[in-house]
Amino acid sequence: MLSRVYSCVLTGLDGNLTEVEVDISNGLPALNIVGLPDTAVKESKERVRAAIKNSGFEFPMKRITINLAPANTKKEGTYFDLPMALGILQASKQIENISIESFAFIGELSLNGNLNRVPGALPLVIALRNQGIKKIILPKSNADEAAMIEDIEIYPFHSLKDIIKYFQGDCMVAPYKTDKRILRKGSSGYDEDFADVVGQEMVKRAFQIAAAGGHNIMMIGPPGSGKTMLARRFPTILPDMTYEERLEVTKIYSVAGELSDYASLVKERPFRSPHHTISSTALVGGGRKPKPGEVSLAHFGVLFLDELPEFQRSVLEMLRQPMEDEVVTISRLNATLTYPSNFVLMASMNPCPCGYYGDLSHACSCTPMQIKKYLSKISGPLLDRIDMHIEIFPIKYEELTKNCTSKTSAQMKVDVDRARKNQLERYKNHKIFFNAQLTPNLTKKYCELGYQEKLLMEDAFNKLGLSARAYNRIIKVSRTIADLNDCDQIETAHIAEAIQYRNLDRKFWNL
Amino acid sequence: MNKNTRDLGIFGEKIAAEYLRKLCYKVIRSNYRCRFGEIDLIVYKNNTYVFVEVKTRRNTSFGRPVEAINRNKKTHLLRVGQYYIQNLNLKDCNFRFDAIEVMIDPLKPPKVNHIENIM
Repeated sequence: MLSRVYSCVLTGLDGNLTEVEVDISNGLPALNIVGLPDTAVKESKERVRAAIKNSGFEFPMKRITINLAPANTKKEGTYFDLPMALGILQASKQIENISIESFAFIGELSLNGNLNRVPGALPLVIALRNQGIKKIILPKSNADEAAMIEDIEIYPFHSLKDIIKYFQGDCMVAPYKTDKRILRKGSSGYDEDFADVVGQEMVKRAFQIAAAGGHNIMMIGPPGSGKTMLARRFPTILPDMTYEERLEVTKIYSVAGELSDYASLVKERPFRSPHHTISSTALVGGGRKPKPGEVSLAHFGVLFLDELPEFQRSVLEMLRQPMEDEVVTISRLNATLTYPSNFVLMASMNPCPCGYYGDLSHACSCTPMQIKKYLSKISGPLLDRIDMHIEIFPIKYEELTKNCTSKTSAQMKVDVDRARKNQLERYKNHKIFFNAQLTPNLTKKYCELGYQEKLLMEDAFNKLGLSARAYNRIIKVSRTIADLNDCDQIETAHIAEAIQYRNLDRKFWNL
Repeated sequence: MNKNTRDLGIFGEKIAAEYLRKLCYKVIRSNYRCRFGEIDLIVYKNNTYVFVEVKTRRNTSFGRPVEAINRNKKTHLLRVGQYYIQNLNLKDCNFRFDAIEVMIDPLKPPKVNHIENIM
């Protein structure tokens, strides 16, 4: 009268093998769940009861005790419905002579016995594979996401009834496989293209550098100069994600419950543009049981903060640690979780409240005090972490009506892809993918400067009053520029270009 | 209370008492009442006093009889049982609470289901 079914519990991005033990004994009809279940797990007794009844079985009128082992960790989520239902059916001898020990089960039941999609299936499957489980049964709508993982057999099912039929040998099911080529295929294309933007060649060049090396970038310019329009097109030139990157991003989206039947894999680099009213919890993640925030959802992608000074200052300061460490650790009473947060920060802002400070065709109506107050919303430490500052000028009438075609996104992406390939090749023995991730050690190794270059850097360091961090970041940017130009060695021109992307903070912030 | 329901209950309790007698239990009290409530049967066997709640149903359209025993009912049973034990100053013996469900079908003999130790 005892049965045991394997399942998995999710804490952050990691899963742990869990045994669902079901004991049925004589006594008043009752269903007790022990092993620190939360409300969603406790509620599952009602779903299990209805699902068993509506799948043509009988819910035993006995005393049922369910233990979720290890019993000392908190369990949450709805994916224990299926293992519980199977455990009850087995313990009450309604399904017999079948072996379910070699399987692990994940799934939420609906009242009619169908299996519903669960969030976090991908990390669960990865955890189960790492703990030696060979076969997994899960809802059909989670199949694509789970099939990303190799060396494990995925058996997706539509309903509880189908699973029983399978185990009783009434139907044969082959392990689910997706076409791996689809997984590795590039993004499906965008509606927008850089060819829509007339002129602004210098900005486009800066974007290419940022995209190739994963550098943070900030645009300052008057209203209507095309900041937002340019930013919206930034994803179109981002290099394609590698398989490992896709897996990691999909994991985060899976845990956040942002995957759907139509998009069960994240194929394109995320581009997150939260509104400036965003709270600090939504940005870095949080909640009673911490969920990933925007910085983690933008992992390996872009976090675009439009109108940067409009964000609450406290919210912006939250970005400092995740930007530096590339992970964010959220501590709450119930759990302390670490989510990756390796993103490219892209920010846009006006130089002053009226927007026209420094513009040649409009007069600025702000007082110096107002401008100072406005710009001081962006703190020095945050500014220091942004590698490239670019000023955007409004486009001239002749340029707007001139019938020249500018480079398309596809053309720009070719350069970016080539530069990224150089980096992947160079860092294949290290656990990094692009230049912005270089640690001080690796910077020394891969960004060696010649005599001329050293002189230039020394000059810039002293004259511009650079911080040590800014110095490192300039070198990383010049490494990317060299990669874009297919140079193995960083040259003076590369460094000079990198330095000129750092001069705006002095133009505006040292009033 | 509807007379029919009351009669049904008395009938069910009779059947339950008969069933317990066959199992060599000695029926000590039936319908023991005190200010805390009522216990349908108090029986004794092997130095164990058993307090029995009998539930009778004609059909299961409102669920099985034992499903009607909830936490509230259990607390009542426990209080009456404790009162009884204290009142008679019973010592050196075991106590148990049981439930017996009786399902009555006019065409078939009644079905008895005995559940030991419901607490």
